[in-house]
Amino acid sequence: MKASADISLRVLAAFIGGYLLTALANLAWVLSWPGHRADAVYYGTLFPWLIYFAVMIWAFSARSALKVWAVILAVAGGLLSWVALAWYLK
Amino acid sequence: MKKTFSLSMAWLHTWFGLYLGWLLFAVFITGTMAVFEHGITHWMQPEGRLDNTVSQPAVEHQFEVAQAYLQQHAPKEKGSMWMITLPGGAHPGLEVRWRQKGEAHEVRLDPASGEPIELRETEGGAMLTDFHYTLLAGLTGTIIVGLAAVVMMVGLISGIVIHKRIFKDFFTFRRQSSSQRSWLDAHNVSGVLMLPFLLMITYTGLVMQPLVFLPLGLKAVYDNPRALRGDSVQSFEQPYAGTPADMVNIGQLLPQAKEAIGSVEWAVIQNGGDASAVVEFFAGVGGRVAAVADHVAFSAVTGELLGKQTEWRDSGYVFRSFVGLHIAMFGGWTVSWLYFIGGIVSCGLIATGLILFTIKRRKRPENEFGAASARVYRLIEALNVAAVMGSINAILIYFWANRILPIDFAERSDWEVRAFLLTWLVSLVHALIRKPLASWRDQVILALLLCWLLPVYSWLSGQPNLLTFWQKGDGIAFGVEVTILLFGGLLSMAIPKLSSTMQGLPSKRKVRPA
Repeated sequence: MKASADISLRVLAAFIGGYLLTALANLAWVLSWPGHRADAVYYGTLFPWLIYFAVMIWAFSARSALKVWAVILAVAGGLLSWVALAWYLK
Repeated sequence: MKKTFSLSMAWLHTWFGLYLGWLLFAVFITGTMAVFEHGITHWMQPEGRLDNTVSQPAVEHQFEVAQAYLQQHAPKEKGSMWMITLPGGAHPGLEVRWRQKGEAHEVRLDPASGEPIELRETEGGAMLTDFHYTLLAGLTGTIIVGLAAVVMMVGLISGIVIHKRIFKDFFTFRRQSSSQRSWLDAHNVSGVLMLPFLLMITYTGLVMQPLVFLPLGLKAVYDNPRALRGDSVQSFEQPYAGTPADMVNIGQLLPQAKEAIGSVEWAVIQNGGDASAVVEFFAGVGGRVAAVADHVAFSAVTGELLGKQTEWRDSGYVFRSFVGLHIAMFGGWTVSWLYFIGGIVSCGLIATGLILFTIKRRKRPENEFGAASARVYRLIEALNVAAVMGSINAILIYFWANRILPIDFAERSDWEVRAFLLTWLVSLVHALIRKPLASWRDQVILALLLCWLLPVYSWLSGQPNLLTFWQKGDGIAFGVEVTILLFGGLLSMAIPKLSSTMQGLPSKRKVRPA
């Protein structure tokens, strides 16, 4: 792969992929919280950011940019099914 | 990406630090100013200055005159909210506020007579706070600052990874060594020293705006995001009656309010002038880390106690602690000053990082941009000057504009902001025209003159200045101006170093006898 394409893929994975997983994790957390919805939202804003940082760092340290995207999409798929299930059960 | 994890992190730190460092410097310096937002506003409206040589009237009396003013001028309509803020802490004046047809009104009152005080039109310190998290570009700006905050966290983490020797380097500062070494040491020492502060301030900044940054979760369980507030803050509002009624003197409810919540910093009257009017007293958020304000409500017509809230849900406490840690309203002046100094050192961290990038390449160009490398490095030098000195000068020019523009100048507060923004442009153009080191020196000298001449100009133009602030015992305005002078002193320390570098001298290196 050309260097510029490689970097672009990684930058997109870091910013967009990272946000995608962060937002989905937040959504999954809030929908799965057993208690009051206010607690779900307040506690749910505290931790998803760690995912963003991790994805960003990994996007620029992994061997292959394509692998990064593959994992991001797989995890996003997993989170989405979780969200769908939690939504259905609510 | 690179051969090792460490090398990848070094790459990430260099490039993210460079591209976002420019923006982060502006965000950090305005955030540092935001610590003293109210003090700065007070300094920018010297007509409302305090005269601490005469004693202030009792709080009950202040509530009475404020209420009288609101009853005369604020709208009596369904859903109206009148607010009274008492002088206290960094917020030195008696203020009343209301909204009418979506427009915010704000009037400063003389606490003794209740007469409005004419203040010059300015956005004051609030503009700097606003810039800190919106770049004056609303939602788009907030999202950009949010992304910069994520990059800041990644910059901190990658910085730790490439640095490793945290404790050893804590005691390493080779000021006398080569110029690159000493910049690197300054960058490392400030980073290591400020690491807990930087992690805290960046993380809490991300967490505190869930509605903007993480709306999906919130909107999944709340159709109306305002209901989230309703779930944590108890409301004692009463349905609008539509029949006018005389209100009690709310000042007389004060002893009861203090008994319920300890202290009172501000009050809100809902549906003022109506039979359903409610007055709510708030204790302020300064008493603890979590930024929650205990409150107690009375009927403003009968004076009957409606209820109070001094207990908050655990998750609310936790969330508002993150907010409280960021906005630093707790702990009084001590904490404010620690945050301010922490902010300045963090700005130094960002600035030294930016400078390091260019110093390394001045010595040993790396051709990272192919044939255009020389020109791109030149542009980066200019952008560094514009980001660092441009931000500092923009704030100083904003202060100067406040003193120079005539008080009755049309749209004067808009022109203050324009002067602020325009300074960056001028700074960048100057940095592109002049040689890098010369533009650094010119702009440092400009900033230092702006700092030191400000009180002189105020004095010459017959405006309130250091002397009058001192005589009236107005410690807040005095403190703002002295801090500006001291900041000038800090800048002046950079000039000898810049001059010697310009003359091509090695920075003071100890020559060891062979």
